[in-house]
Amino acid sequence: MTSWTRTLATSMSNYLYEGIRWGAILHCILEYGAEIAICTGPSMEPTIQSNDRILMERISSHYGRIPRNSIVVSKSPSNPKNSVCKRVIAIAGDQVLIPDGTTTMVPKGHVWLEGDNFQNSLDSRSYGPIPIGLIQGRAIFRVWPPSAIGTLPIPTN
Amino acid sequence: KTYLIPCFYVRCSHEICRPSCTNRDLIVLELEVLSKLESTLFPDSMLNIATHLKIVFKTLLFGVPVGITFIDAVGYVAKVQGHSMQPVLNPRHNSSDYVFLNNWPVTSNSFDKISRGDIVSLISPKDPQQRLIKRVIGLGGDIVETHGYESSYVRIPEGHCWVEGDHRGNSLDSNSFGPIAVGLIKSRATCIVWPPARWQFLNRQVPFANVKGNSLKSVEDRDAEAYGTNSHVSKLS
Repeated sequence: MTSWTRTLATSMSNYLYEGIRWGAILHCILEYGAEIAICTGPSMEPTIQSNDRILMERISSHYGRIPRNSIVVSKSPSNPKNSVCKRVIAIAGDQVLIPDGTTTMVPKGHVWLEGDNFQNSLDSRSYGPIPIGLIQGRAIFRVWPPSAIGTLPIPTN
Repeated sequence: KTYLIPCFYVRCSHEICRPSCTNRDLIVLELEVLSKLESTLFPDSMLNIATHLKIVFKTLLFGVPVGITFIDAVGYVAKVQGHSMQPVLNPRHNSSDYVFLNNWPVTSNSFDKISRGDIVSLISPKDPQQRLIKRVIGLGGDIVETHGYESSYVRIPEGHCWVEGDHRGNSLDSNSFGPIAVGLIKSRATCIVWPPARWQFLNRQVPFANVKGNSLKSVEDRDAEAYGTNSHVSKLS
């Protein structure tokens, strides 16, 4: 093996080594710290417009503690490959009003999600309360578009 | 440490750049990663203990995330507690089985690889901090016969599944909490790794024939799902 090939091999393995190490740190930050998610669709208007990007923290969902009125990103109960972005209206033990006029209690370990855009949102009013295990993160503020960077407001109604 | 970088990343006034360097040349760059950080944290005047601390610090800084990433991506060994999966897991009262939980179906986002008869580890719908280990009996669209549930037959909604412990009557499973979203499934138990006398692969089988039918899919789709092949199954969305 010539000196050049040896240098090439050492260099490639150094790059690979560093790539694996920093990739692992990145994975841990995204999985256990915070991640940026892009929200599409009208279900959270006017709080979140379609194609806004939000920063979500992933610490609360690993501890199972989701406060009321937080906006969460969770796996869709009808398709595990998709994610949905909704607001937590009620947590376990609360009573919620369902479309047919009666109230129901949110069971232990579940939350009730509704989109801010009531008329145009497929949420717990259709598929029922979702288990906290499906929740991937809690949105803390908007990072895109630059004109709208900042905290996400809670609607007054 | 030695790295090869393309010549145009280095300004040609730098002494390591050869005079005849063109954009397609690769030049050798010697680089000491974290050297500035190390020299500020551990100045030369400190004892040999500092050198050992430096090694420990660097190992932890990189070793722990790599370990966590491996566990999240590939899988880990877990102890099985309880009798809900007897006789397949924990058949004796005095010893617990340790199984290997494979995270790859979740990592690769190919939830269609989870098939009927698989033993899976899932987040409990009653308590998100707890994991349950059960067998997948039915998938979305199936009609299952229940055992102690509020109705005798249940049609499983899309994106959900029906899980049961092999030990009928002694298991907290779908017979108590109903169909669960497939998104709660975190890993598949592939084999028993401890004790050595119990080394075996865990097979895909449904102990009680209580899947009564599938209201949505064709025969080919059902077979593809049962054998976990890679053929695309188009689900109603």
